[in-house]
Amino acid sequence: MDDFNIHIFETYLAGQLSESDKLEFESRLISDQAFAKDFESFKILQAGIRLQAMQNRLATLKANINKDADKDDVIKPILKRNYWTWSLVSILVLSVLGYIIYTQTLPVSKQINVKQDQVINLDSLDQKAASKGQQSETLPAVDSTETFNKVIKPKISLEKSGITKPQKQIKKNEIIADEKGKKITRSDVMVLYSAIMRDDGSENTEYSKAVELYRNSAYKEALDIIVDNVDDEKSQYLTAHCYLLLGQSDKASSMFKSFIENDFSSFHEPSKWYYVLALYSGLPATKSELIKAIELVKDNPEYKKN
Amino acid sequence: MDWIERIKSDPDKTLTILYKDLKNDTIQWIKKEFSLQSEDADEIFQTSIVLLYDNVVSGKLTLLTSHIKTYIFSIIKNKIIQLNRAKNRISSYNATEIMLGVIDEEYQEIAQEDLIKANSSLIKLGEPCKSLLELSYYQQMKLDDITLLLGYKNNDTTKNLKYKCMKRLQKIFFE
Repeated sequence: MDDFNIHIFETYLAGQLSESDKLEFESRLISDQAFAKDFESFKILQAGIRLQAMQNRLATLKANINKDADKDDVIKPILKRNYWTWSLVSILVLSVLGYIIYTQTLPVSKQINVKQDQVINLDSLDQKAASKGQQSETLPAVDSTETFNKVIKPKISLEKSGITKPQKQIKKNEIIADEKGKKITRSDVMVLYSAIMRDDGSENTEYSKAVELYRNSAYKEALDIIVDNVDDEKSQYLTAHCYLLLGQSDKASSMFKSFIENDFSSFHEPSKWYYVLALYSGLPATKSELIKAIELVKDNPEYKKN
Repeated sequence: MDWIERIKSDPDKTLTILYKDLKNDTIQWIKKEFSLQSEDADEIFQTSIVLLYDNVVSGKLTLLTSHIKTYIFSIIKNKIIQLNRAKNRISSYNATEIMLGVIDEEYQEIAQEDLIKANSSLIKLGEPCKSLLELSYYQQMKLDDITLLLGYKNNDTTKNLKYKCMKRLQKIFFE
């Protein structure tokens, strides 16, 4: 089954062929056995896709039914409580929310007073506990004046002066790896963000932790976390980038090559460029491979910009 | 928003709501009309909801001219019970068997063994091909939308991957 045949089968089954093309298609089904066999297998596979989709839908429905059944058992007893209890709870919640909103909207000077009052002097707590004959924990002593001077005061000064911290500008040409005179700049690896940074770090996974370390240029630490996650494609792609940025170009090029060799990988396309970069870092040993690898990217207009 | 639009926009939630809303009435009806046990009645009801979804996705159902409950009852009666009885499969109310029977009736030129083999080939194929092929051939999603949903670089990448997946599926099927 070639790409053209797949396209023509799709168009025929969708009823989008012109009358003349349709006649030509149907006469080819009679005259060309291989074409007819391909068409039959295409229809069988489409029917299989439909069956699989229906089974998946049923599995999802069953899962949702069971999930909701568990929730209902927990929710029902709570909902059976009386109206007055719920009213009281609502009033309390609204009061707390109102207090929080009120304190947050106070002018800055009044907020300081509130915050100063809230700073706890742990030394005095220790003394109170000791006087009651309790074992006091060895906590660091915190003085309210010290807390104010270190934490609150600088914030107030900044707010009053209207000065905001300057944003750190990302310099695309900033060199972030320089192994034996071969420089790799930040713009070279910025594409990584679009490829793998869909993870916003909200999940507490090893990959998320590694991404955070990578963002902070802690490549070795990121590598230590995810290097063994061989079954997770995103982790492997991030590992390859960490190797590249740590100057371990042989390991990086080997990993990027495996992505290129896997047509179905999500990182198949972007790996071509980084494979070239990794081989470039390994010059002169990698010269012959680099020449071949350049063929993969030379006609792609996106890489021509770089 | 009517039921058909709701099923298209959020099938997971809508089908679950339908199941919960109609469960008691439908299962009682099935048990009474066809003298079946609760478990069989529940399996039939769940499968009928999936068949409803299938009719919406395939474009067979575009406008509900009766209450959705009536439509589901007709699916149960015409597609499931009658079909099974016609093929002497009175005791077989397994969901997969029911779905196979429905697809078999529509694709009469396809042998059921081939259908089962295609289904298991798809399982062997795995992701991302399984999702890509389902979105493309079953849900008839546009290429732009698939590219966006699955996060591919552009439509050409998606199309090429779709063709590769189809060829790989064919290879697995003929192994």
